[in-house]
Amino acid sequence: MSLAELFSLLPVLVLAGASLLVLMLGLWLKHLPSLVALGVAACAAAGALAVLVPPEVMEVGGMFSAARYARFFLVLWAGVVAWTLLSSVRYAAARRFQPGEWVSLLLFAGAGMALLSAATSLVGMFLGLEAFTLVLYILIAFHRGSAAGTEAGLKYLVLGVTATAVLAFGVALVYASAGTFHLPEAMAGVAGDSPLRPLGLLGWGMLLVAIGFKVSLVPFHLWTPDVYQGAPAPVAGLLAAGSKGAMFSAVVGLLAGIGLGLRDLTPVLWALSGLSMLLGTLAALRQENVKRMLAYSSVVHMGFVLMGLLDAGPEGQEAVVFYLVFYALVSLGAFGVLTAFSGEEGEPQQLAAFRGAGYRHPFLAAALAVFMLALAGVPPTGGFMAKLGVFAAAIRAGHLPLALVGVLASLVSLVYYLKLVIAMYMSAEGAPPSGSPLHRGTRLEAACVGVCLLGVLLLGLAPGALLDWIGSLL
Amino acid sequence: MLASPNWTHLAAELSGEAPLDLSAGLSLLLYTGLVVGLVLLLMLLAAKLGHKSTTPAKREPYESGILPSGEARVRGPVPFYLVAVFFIVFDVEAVFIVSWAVVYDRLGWAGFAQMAVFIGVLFLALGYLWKAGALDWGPRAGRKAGGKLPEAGR
Amino acid sequence: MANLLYLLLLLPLVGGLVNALVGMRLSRRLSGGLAVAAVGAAAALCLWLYWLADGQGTRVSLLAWLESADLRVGFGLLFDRLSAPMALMVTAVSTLIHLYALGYMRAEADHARFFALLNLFVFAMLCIVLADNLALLFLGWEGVGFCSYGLIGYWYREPKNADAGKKAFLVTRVGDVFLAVALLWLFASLGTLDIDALNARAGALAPAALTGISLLLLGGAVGKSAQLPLMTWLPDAMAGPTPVSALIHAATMVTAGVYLLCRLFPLVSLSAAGLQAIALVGALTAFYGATCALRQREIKRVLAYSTMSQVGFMFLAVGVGAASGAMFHLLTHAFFKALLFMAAGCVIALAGHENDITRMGGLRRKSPLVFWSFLAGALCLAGVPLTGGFFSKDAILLAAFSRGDAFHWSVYGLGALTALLTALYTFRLVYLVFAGEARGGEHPAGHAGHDQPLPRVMRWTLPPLAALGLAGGLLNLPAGWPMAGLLDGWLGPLGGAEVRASHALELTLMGVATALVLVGWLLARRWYARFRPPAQGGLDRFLLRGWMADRAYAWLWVKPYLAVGWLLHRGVDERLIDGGLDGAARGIGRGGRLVAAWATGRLSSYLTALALGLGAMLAYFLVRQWAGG
Repeated sequence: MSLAELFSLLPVLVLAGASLLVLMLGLWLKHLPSLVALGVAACAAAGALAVLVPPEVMEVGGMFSAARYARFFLVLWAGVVAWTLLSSVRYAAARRFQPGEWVSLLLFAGAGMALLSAATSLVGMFLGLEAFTLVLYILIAFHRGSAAGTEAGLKYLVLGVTATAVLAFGVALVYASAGTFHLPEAMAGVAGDSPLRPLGLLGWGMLLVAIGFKVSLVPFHLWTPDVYQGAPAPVAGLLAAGSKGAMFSAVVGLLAGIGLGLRDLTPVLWALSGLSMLLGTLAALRQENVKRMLAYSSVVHMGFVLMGLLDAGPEGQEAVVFYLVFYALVSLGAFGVLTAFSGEEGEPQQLAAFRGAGYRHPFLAAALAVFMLALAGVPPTGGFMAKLGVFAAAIRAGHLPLALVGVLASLVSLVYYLKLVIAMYMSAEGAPPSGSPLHRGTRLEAACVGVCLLGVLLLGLAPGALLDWIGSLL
Repeated sequence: MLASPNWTHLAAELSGEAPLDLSAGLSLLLYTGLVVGLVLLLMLLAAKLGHKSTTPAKREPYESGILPSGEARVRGPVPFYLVAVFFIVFDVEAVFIVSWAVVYDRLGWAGFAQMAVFIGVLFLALGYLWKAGALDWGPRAGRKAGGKLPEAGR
Repeated sequence: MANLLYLLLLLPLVGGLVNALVGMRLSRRLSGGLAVAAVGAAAALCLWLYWLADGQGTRVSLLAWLESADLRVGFGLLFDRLSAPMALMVTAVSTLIHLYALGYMRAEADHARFFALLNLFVFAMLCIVLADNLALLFLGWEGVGFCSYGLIGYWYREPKNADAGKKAFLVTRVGDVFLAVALLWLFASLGTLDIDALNARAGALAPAALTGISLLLLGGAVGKSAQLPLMTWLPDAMAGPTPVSALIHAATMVTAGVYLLCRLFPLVSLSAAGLQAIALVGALTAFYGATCALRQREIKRVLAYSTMSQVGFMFLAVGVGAASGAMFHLLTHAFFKALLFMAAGCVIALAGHENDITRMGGLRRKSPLVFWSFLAGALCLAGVPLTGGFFSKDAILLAAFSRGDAFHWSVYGLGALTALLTALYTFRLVYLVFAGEARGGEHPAGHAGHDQPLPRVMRWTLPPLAALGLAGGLLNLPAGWPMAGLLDGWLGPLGGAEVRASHALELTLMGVATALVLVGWLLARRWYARFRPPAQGGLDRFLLRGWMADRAYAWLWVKPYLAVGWLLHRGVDERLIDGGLDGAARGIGRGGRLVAAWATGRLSSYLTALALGLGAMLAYFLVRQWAGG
């Protein structure tokens, strides 16, 4: 690995190095805000480096890209991590999270997601994926006092390890069929007349299972509600916004080189997407727990993204990336509001806890309502543009029935998103029945939520700028 | 979603109009089907024909004739796992170092630098564990560590 | 300079918006004063800028409002020889009525809503008057409809008033649909909505299309102007406050239909059938309104029917090709009818909030000023010689008669008969209200406000209008008089066909008209100078209820409509659609429970699902590979 390559990888190295530094520093410095400041500074530095310093080589070690696509996602994930750090200061302090470990692990997750988005080889993909999945195992169970968190961590660990094994097997099979890990070429094994095509296809099947697990597609989604419910709200936000997005950003690269092989995969993708949208919507309808509802909603949304991937052309990819950015913003925002509402004792999770919140917490509740409407895809928000993009992609690729399933799911989804809005605004007496009242939220948390709110609205009102930008990346 | 043309192709093969080249795959499939079918059949028969009765005694876990007492959730001593984990971590390190050592002359200074970074990071981790009190276990750990790694002592 | 014309619209708009937004925080004096000032300033401005209308008039275009393919609708104003006098009348009369309203509304809590709507109404009305294209005109058309709805139902707590507002809104909406269709038709065939361009290019239309468009325009005008057959809303609209009746339902809005036909007269006049229809509708409505007014017992309803009847005269004028005659009558009528309504408001207050004229009487002694003002208005309405109403009505009848064929003669006959009836019901009103002794004694005594003096601002707005009404004839004296034909000359070609009639014929008709008024007065004197309890015969009830029009409509339209509505609501919506949706929702909910139950919380079942998914996927690829190659 030459110096030029290291230099091209510098933004990721900054994140990883800062993670180590904070970890060691945390042994002596127990002051959470200053460590958070350090972490945010590292994120900002990584982002600035990614934007301002052009890479010397475009590919590092045959595994990671330093091209604009990768840099774009690096900036996005660095922003997501910095946002999570900032919005969870009070939350982490109230639960006595070990400051050094908390900040360090989040930074490392950011580095892992950036690597995954930059992967140009199956090995790079595997490394990036495992880097942040390992971190997530810890983060999900980070609150040691919470039994639900421990349970969630264990579930995610067992299932995640299984999925990792399947992924490794799949990578090996694809390698066997093509003789290389490097990405466009590794897909040659499934591309048509290769004699080892069956192996390649089997490998793809396993890859899809692992990917389906990571982004929680039906029927590999069952962990999602339990883990979302048990994980600390900021971590659940990171899980929704970051880990799924990073996985999909890598899948875009995977499918780009597949060419004719897509024909064989299409029925599987079709089924996964359709099942996720339908069953996820159905399951979400019945949830009284907001975090579980959001978990099922993420299942549905991942189905939408997958639908966009069926159009492998640049327009489909554009729609998918746009969707990922939107979904990152909106899920960070929604979990950010949950974080802000969380008091010392616990998080508000039941719908009943939100009753009348619209009158006592006007800003946070209004933001949450906007996020719900955005998730449902109501026009002035970014959700509408994002869904429009993937529907258009599906129709372009000739999958009108799937697009209709998506529209149907969107319509029905309005019911469970509005349930929360109704609880906040239309419960007459407005007093929460029992339990702890919602926390007011600090100014910092409100500012973080405000950033997401602005982003979600901007994506709806002026989507052109981001779409053009994404178009130039691909 | 199975493409129907493929089935017509299969029909053509079976009727001899196309060269038959699927004996291996077909026999494998048939064999798989037979095995799965037989297992399912046996399970089904056992479930349907067998007499079922549940008594409290039957539902208890078998503990060599001794009535179980207490919960299954018992706190075990953590140090054992810590030793195991440390062993694995440093064992893997050894794998990398040995494989580097075999060809160190061919890897040159670049390889040396990479290995140095690798070992450096591991040393950092070791230092972290030491400072955090993970290496202190036994009766004195609780007193000394003062709850730095709460689960290690309890 | 020309851009100042926008202020004409802007002033009432701003006044209305300020009152709508922060009116309730302002004191009553300030909020009312603001409304009066806005309209008064607009009137002054209109007078100051009047010279802009000379020659070809002035056009200003502020911005493109709607632009899509061929459709270009600017926010443009046309201040020409037709719109200028109309705008001046609207703003001037509005100013007086606003002033009057200051006094009238002095005890109302919700004054801001009233003044906001009143100002917005003036804005919308000026939109109609000044628009240089039909789209903007339509905007104003709908705007006055909305304000009228809000003002009729101003005392919305009483269901009767709210219903009256709704009725006015719905009935005029029927006419609006015709107008909208006419607009679309015009745009589709001529590609523009610009009024000048439409008038210039109208000759290019096929005769059938011209007739169709003219009839549709008539339909729109009929709705807004309460003509047959869409006249039923106007009497009920008297539920609103009296200034509203004066402003909207006498002086301005109900004449919007006439104005529309005058504005598009070059287009409408190309269709002979259209003109005849307009004349017929006008003459019939004039007769209908006059007969109904004969037997009404509420003072404002008498005036409402008389308004309907007078607007009918204006339609008749347009129909016989005398647009300038229509405008002439429109202007004089605006003055004297506003006067009558405002005086009626004073009368009602003086009589102790009594509406029924059979329980009034003797009011002459109570307030001579109100009496003389009301009498001035009544003389104009009855068409007593030398008043404004006499000249304007006479001009219309002359125009009708001079066309010289059977149809027009019969129309003239109907008009002349109506003139007689008009004089009769007008003097009936005057006698019952002012003559004799006060009959309020039958009424429970001690009515609050009975002896409360009228606010000065209410009384003193009457004389200026009385003067305008009486002297209104000066606007357009017939040939042979000094200063003859001012309005005709001013309007020029916009005024429609020139009336050709010999001087002798003119004098003869004037003599006939004078005789009719005289007969009407004598009859009224004979029957009503001494009070007798009103007759209760079948014909009386028939006329009292406006020829049973409401009942007929209820049977013809409202009941079948409600039946269909009931069927759609109960049968289709509740049973079919709601039932279907409920069933679907139940099914979805059940499915949701099933799917959600899948997440058991047990790791083992999750792993099983993962394994099954993996198995299914691998099996799919195996089968596909084996089967398809």
